[in-house]
Amino acid sequence: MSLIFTSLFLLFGGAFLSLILKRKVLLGKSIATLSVVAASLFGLIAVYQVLFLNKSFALTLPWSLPLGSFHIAFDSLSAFFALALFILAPLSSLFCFATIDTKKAYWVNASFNLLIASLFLVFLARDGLLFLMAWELMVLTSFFLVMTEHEKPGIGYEGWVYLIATHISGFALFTLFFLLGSASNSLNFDSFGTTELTLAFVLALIGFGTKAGFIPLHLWLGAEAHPATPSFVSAMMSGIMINTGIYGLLRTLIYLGSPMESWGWTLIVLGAISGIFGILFASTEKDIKRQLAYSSVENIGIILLGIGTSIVGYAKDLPLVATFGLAAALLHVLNHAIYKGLLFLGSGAIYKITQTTNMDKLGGLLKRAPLVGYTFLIGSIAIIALPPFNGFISEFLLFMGALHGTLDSSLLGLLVIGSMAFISGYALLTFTRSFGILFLGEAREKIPNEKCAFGWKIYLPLLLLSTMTLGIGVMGPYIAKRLLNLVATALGFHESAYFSSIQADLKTIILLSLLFSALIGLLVLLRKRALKNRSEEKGLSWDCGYIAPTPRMQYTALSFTEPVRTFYRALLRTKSSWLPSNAIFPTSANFKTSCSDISEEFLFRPLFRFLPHLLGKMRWLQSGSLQLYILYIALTLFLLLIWKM
Amino acid sequence: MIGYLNPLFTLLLSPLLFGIINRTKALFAGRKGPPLLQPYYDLVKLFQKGVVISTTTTPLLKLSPLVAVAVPLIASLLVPFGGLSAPLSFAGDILFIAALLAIIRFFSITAALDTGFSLEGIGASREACFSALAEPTFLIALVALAKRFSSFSLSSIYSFLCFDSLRMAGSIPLILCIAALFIVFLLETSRIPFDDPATHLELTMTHEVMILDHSGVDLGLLQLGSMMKMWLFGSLIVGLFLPLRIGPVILEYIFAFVGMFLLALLVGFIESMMARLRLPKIPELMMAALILATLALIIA
Repeated sequence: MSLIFTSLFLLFGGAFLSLILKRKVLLGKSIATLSVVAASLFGLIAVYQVLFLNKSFALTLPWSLPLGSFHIAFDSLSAFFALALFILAPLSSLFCFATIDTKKAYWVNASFNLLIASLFLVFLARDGLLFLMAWELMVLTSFFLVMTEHEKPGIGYEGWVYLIATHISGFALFTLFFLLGSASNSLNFDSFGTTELTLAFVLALIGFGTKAGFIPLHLWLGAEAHPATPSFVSAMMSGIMINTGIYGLLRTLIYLGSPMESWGWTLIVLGAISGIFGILFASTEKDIKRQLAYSSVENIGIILLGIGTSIVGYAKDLPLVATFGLAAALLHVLNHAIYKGLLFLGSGAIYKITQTTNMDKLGGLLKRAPLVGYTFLIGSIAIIALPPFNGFISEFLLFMGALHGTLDSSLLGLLVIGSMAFISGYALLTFTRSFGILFLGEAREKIPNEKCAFGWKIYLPLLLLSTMTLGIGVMGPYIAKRLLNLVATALGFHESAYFSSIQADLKTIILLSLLFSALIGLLVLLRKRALKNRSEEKGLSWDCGYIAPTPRMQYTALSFTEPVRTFYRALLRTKSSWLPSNAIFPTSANFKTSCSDISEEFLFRPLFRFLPHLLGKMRWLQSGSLQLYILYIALTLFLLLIWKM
Repeated sequence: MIGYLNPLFTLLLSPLLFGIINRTKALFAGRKGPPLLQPYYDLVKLFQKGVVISTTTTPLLKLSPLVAVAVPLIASLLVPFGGLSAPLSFAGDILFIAALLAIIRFFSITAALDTGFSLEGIGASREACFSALAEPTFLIALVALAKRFSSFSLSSIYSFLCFDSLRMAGSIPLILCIAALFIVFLLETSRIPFDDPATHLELTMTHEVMILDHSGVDLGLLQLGSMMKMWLFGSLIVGLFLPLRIGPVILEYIFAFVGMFLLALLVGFIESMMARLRLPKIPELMMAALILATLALIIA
């Protein structure tokens, strides 16, 4: 327990000190970063104690507010989510030190420290009011961080949309806690329970779903993925904050008792839609950060597929399906935090060199920044779920769970395996595109030739995260077995011998991957030997005899996925405008495509236009006369008095 | 134990498939055609040449041919050949094989984009967009078979299939799977109706244009890789309806080789009869294959 309090104290202290040390920028930045790193270390020790030494913490303190209590606890579920938090937080903080503008450093650092603290509190809180306070702090600090460069156009609108959307979801959460706590008249999580199960589930879906970001509730996307948002903020938001939505959903499911099968199917359908639409939207984006944000939506879809499979398995009394589904979802939460953090930090490094995140202006960056490029490559391979990296392990667990479930019901296999495979296919498309267009080939427009050198503060996070993707992949058999045992015990099933056979299967996969690497090494040697006495010349790329090939003739991000946009035009609704040149010899022409988010266009924009119109009808109340307002106050007091009597 | 010879067969015998296909096409066109062993002669010629590397490229260009050869060798340890089980098999190896194919695709698309000119970009874009629908079809068809026979590894699924299984009751899912997997086979090996391996024009190709900047040894390795991929996919298709399961192992092997020969003849026949589909039609055909596989899963 003292570890947890030390960690929180360090984070709050760091925030406070960095605000005080406004003038001494370097000292303030160093203290903030050190506090985050130290707090994360303490947090990781606490996580290790809970997950590996089977300890658990709980503490209740009274406080001076009329409702609720300071009730926190740290069990395995909280510890697992906190693990992802404390891996990504110090690395993002190092990145923040290296990239943040000095004038704003003091409040960016303070907000960042408070964000980490509030995230930790969200995972710790076991009281409704404490949870909502931590939630609100998380939303506000992330809003401040998003608006760091509020002078840049577009970010203001996106930031406000994010704030409003999250508060709408907060309303759903408030109602949910009210509902769950009304039976026992207390907001303490331990006494949560209700008979209105479906209503509670729907409220949890709306409330936590807006944070998790499955379609159609993915409104935070615009704020997080805006080029003006610092990349380490996007990494934290996409890697950890959406996990709080999943965490909340899982916690609510614990308090709702035995889940119904229909909930599982709802989650599977929602997961399939989020995954498929998410990856299709991602493949049509030309801004790398928006693509990564939509890819987060897709990964949340996969996590929901896992949770849904688990619920269906639990309701149908299929222990293997339930265990594998939940284990896959949890491992995917961790994996996603790591490789999404890696990709966002990589795009932040790119932004530092090129001052843009528009893929159509970039290219050939692998030669300019090889380490950033190769770690981005590893992140892309991990997110496509190729062995032996970590993405493959969680997809393998989900696949096995769904296979077992298919024996019972074809629909489960079809929805889960079908959407998973569909998503993988298009994920391959999207991430080869982004890596290829950003790092390979030639630069499409002249990049501002910033001779900025990257220091260890940028390289270390990228290297550590990419090593972790490979490490978790290679240690996959052991991690999977341990996680399966943990989940089986948590769900109330006994540990099965089948888990050992899964561990053996994963070991075979890892061994085959090692054999593959050895084969590549052998082939490299053979190729070198074959070319020893022969010519290895340099030339230009085959350009079909063009006299003056230019880098602008390369494929762009949008042209690469044009077949996808055409085939799915009913879903994607791309708008294009084309001004052809109509002289005999080509002069100037103009072609523009834009792909707008369908849920924003068809669901939310009409809703947000309708609401002010409806509420405008009440405008007659605001007459502007002070006497009338005093009359309103007197009337309200009078009514309250009557009601109390 | 004899299954460990599978990688050797894949490496040494796969160019013969290309030879049979080219000979068939030539005979249909009224020509005499190249000798059956011509692909071997071409490979030997390529392996004796030097390479020309473009200045725009990075080391990833040189990695792609190596991956194209290494992956089918690993996969041949997992794919059953004819009536014989693969040397290695485990539950869930279906997903691993699909992931191996994705590895080849990833590195070939990356190498194509590495060259920095639009010609290879054409191939990369088409390859990525069209193969995206191949993976779900492949997985769903095999999961349908997994459900039908209640087993989770490729070799154990194939151990239930023999040349009589089409006449058994409940063989409709099997027929649908064969149709779906054959369409995926034609896509993955870049044959008509998805791609025209005979032309070398950038505008009409998918696979051939991605390898334009590879030369000499690299090109030889890439050709060998695509031949091995065809052999592996072919053994998957052949194993669906041809295993003998009555005689000794040597008879199974002979039957399997005959099956591959007939498959190559069939591919040559299709290539001579049809033209490549118009590009917007290709995703529609892949969707049709996906629907066939889905039906197979629902019925199974």
